Amino acid sequence: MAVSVQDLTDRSSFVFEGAVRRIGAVTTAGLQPTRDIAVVQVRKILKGPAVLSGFTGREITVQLHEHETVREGLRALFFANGLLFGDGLAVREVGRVDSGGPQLEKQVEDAMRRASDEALLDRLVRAELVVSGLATETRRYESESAARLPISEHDPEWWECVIQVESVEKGKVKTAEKGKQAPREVVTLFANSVDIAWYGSPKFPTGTKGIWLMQRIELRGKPVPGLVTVHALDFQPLSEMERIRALLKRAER
Amino acid sequence: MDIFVINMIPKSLSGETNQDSEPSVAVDLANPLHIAATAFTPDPLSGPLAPIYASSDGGHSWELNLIIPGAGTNPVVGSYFPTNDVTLRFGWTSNILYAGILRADTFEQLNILRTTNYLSATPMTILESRPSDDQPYVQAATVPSGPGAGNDRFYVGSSDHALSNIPAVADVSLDAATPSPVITRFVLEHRTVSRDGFQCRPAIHANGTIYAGFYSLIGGPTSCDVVIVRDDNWASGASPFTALIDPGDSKPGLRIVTGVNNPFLGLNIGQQRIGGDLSVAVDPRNSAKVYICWGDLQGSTYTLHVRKSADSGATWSSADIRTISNATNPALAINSEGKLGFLYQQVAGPSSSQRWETTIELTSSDFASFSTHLLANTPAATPASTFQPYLGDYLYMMAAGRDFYGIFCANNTPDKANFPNGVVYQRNANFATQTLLAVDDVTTVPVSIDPFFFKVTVGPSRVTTSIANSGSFGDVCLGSFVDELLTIDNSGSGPLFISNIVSSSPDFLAPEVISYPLKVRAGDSVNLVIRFQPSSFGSKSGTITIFSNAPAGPHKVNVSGTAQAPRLSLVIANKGSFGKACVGCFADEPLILSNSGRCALSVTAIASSSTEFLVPEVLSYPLTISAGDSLPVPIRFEPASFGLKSATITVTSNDPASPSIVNVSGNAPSGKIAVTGSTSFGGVNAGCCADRTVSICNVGDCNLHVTGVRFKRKSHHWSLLHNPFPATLHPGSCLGVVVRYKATEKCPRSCELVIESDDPVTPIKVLDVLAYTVWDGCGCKENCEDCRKGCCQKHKECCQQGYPCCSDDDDGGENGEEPGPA
Repeated sequence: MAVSVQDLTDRSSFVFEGAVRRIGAVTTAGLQPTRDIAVVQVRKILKGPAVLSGFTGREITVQLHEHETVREGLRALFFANGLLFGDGLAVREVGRVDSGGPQLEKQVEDAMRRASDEALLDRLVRAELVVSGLATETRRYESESAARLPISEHDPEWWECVIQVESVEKGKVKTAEKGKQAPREVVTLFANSVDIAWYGSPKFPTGTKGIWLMQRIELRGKPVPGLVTVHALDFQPLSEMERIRALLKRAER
Repeated sequence: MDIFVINMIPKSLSGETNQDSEPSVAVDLANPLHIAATAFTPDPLSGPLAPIYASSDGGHSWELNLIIPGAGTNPVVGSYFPTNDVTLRFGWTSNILYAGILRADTFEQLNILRTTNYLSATPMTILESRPSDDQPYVQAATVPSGPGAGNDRFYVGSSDHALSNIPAVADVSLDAATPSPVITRFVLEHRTVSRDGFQCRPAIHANGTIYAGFYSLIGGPTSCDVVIVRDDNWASGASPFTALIDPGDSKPGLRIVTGVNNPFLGLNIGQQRIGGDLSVAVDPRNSAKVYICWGDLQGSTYTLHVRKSADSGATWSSADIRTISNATNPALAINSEGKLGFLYQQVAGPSSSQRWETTIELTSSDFASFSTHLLANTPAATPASTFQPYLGDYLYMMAAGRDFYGIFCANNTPDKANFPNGVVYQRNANFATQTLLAVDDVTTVPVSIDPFFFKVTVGPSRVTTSIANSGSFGDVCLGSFVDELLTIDNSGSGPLFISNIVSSSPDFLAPEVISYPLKVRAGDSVNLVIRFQPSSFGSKSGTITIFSNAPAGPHKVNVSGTAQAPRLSLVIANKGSFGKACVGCFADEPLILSNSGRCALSVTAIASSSTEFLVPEVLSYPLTISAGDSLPVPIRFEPASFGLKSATITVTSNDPASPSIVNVSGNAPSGKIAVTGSTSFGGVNAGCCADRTVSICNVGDCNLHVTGVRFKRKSHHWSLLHNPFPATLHPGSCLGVVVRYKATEKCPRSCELVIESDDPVTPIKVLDVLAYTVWDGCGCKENCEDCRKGCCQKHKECCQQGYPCCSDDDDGGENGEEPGPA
């Protein structure tokens, strides 16, 4: 059964065009050369972290998913994940597609874009409230006592962010005063902690402008008292408004 | 003392800029070359497995092996993380690696993991899982003897969020290596508390004594107690961890110190949050001897305190045995000799340019005296913190035998000055420009926080050596040499400093070392070349002596070898006899110079004792004859005189028996004269002449040089009608001489024919020639006047022998003598 580029891209964090140089050989000391391992020269990286960008043009070790169909000289698009990082780089192949030039590259790019959209769409669907606006005030969440030791150093340190709403994209926002449309304000909780568990969670200094996706979540088995914006995708710049609106329309369908 | 420090980021990740903080390390005591470590280092490809740092060479090289489950996108935060907290430990003899982690993909979920091969790509097996926990801190052991001998046991201290008072707990397995180990969680807190601190630190002794230390927040974070619990039988009884009863409240868990003001996340120093430090270590030689280190605020200064108990934790030193201010991340470890190691990270310097100093102190006297070793001295303000913990809420150090192994995190600027005891970088770095470089070794990479592994080798060094063939270099030819590698292995546990290597024999050359001492780390070895270059022939032996700091003193290596000699054999036909050779001629015979030895023969001279035996002219000595080869040399016998000849031919070479002499001989025979034919004429009628032919022959082997044939005296009566001499007579040849007698003399007189030659025997041969004149009627009576008057013609018939010769007037006489008697 043919595997789609979309599926391979979704399941791989390292996608590259490469040429098989040697079968049964390795480029790093930590692996034994076996029949299902090959040395592949990376010709172009289509998906991967910046830290590995220097491997373009270099040889890496690939633990092959299907080694029977590999021959030296084969040029293909390799879909892989990490295996070993030593003197050299070794990756574990998820799948492989014969090289197809720009068209195939575009398929990968499209797959990555679709995956990104799906992830944001998922957050939008989950969100109770989506607004754009301006952070006018941030403050420690009152329930959090400075004197009390947090459960762990991985606590979120809840803070509140007061948002002056410019537009409501999903959900309902109560008006500040009945009968008047503006100004409208909402409050979202955010994790002010810079602990390793939370530093990737968005922070909202006063003056921040953007689009907030507010969720109700549980933490350590208990509901967090209030809407929160803690997921990395739950805060988007205003430049993403059209995309968000399109995704919300798509969600409505 | 030897200190080895290495930046653990592998070369393939030279471009990484993660804040790789909060390290842990585990050394396999059954094989200290096997070491595993962790930090907040993600899979660069953001996969579902977090990496361990794996080394199989004692920490000299490291790679990232993705085997820890639980990495991934935090469902709450939506960002990718490796794990949150993680610690590692090996079973003591099982080679099994255990880990306690907080998963990232399920947020604070505790996992206890296991692998039998930390170098394989197989993910670790999950043994235990609990929803919410903090700082799982694993210690593991293998029961050395008694009940349960051989069983792996682990003790994972943590802070359990499931209970309202968030107590210190320990997850214990007494059969950790079995397929489905039983894991039991024990609450260590027995008092009513608001909660306990984040840390719970177990420590294991081989006799089954288990300690665990934690903070008990009875009065809140600003007034907490440092508590230690103990179990005396592997926590296998009904009431584990209750062996220590506090005399103040009779509750399990002895309060070492109370009212401690711990900031618990309320303080940062050098960008690092202070979350409560705790370390416990037990002396492997004596389970009653236990140390603890905690931290608190002394005024506004965060301070580490070290205290000791010598009675299994029942009582503790009332005062600190060591106090360090502005420091965090303590780790205590005790080696096999009872030496205490104390690792910590201290902020030092003015606030504008603070630095993190990572230090290990070693003491055998509870800090009455101690040595201090600065492992790293790095900027505290850079790089800017990405998250907390900046360096880690803990680090780790353990002892294996005499040695201490540890791990810490620090600014990774490649600056030698930052690492006073040296450092090795795996990732690309330019120490000259103090620049990190990416995989391409060109692109600069920003400074970040990296994990650094270190090993402190404490014990003595020990020299062991190996050399091929037990030091026998075999056969070597003179003028040549053979090299052998002498491997000097430091099989001790301390660094080896070789101060000199000397040879007792000039035939065995020790290596030239540019600069002593040579340093060989524990477990390392160095190969040096020993050269056997004999200066003379024969069996040789010597001793290579290695002078070092090894307690056993100079190490001696016996060496031997044989300097093989070439062997000259002289061979010549007929025992050196050249036979006969005439003077002026020559005879050649080859003298065979044969090298029957195993090394090349070098002939430097060939000489003859006689000019009649000529050796060849050699334009340039030496002549080289390979082993087993031979060289014919022509010897010429060229006699200059007659007779038997002899001489000695002397061959000078590098054969130890040189010179070699061979006797030669030859014969230079002469010609030998022999004369045939009668020289007695008898009577010849007057006026007649008679002839006789005398043959002069050479009956010798060589030419006879007849230099002259003449009459001794001049006489009118005798003459030589034919005289071919001087002439050379070849062997066997003859030449005739015709002698004439003219019968005119009145009185018979003999004459002597003289033959001169080079016959050495008869150089002058004299022949008497005899004749007389017959004066009778026939013929001339008075004198030869008659003949001139035709008498002879008239009396031709009168010459009874000979022929008339009156007219043959040759009276001029020979030799000027009178023609006849008066």
